[in-house]
Amino acid sequence: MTNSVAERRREEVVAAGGGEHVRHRRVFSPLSDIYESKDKLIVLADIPGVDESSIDITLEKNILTIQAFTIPQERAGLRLVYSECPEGNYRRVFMLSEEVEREGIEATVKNGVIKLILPKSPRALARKISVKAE
Amino acid sequence: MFFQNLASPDSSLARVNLLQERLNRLINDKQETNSTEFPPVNIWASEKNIVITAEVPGIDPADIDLQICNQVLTLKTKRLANEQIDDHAVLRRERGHGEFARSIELPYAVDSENVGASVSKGMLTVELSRAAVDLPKKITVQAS
Repeated sequence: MTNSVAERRREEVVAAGGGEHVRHRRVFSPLSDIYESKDKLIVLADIPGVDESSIDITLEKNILTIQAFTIPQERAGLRLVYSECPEGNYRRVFMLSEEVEREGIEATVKNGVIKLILPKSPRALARKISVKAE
Repeated sequence: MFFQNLASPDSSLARVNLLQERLNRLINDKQETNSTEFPPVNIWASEKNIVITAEVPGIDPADIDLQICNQVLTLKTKRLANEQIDDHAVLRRERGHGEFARSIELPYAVDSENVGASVSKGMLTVELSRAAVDLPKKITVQAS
């Protein structure tokens, strides 16, 4: 069957600099897309199974951190016989090159995908000098 | 798949891979595999019930097609290639897109009239129960 780009799997990451979790939970790096248009950056990240209240997004200087926490699932009377998507939390850190307007950041979640809209700051836009051909 | 008979794959390579996978699972005492099939699934089972969960982030529930035929559950779905953003450059693309299909062999016949399927926060959950005709029946022996 056709599956064009599905070869990538999310990878397990070791929490760096963020301390250890009190409960042992695995941490995965969510698969992400990043798009850039003239005035904004758009980040999409797959975080299936996460409630919107368990998502933590921070921007410190130009370091964007996305964290999402899942709830461990117990299924009474059933045994996990096969697993391709082990449970765990999500964490991914991006370093942004463009200056971002902090006030205008929007984050939404739909069907297990985070969509982050990061507008570029007017200063970053103003710095661009257009070159015209003579 | 988990329930597959060792002898069923056609090519010897598939057989070696399956054996490798089973050995890994045995040694690690975990049921995990590194399959790259989409969507990835977890299977929970008991003698009477099966629960299958699949990660389907970004997929509209209306685009999920589930079928059960002869103890095989087939899941077909599609994910759109792109966000509708005008005049954009792609800086990074890791999320898969396209049409996907996969089949899961079930360990016993299930009651196809009584299947629960729901999608919540990008997770598909399918609940199946064993068909009544397939349940083991105890036969009492009478002394004559």
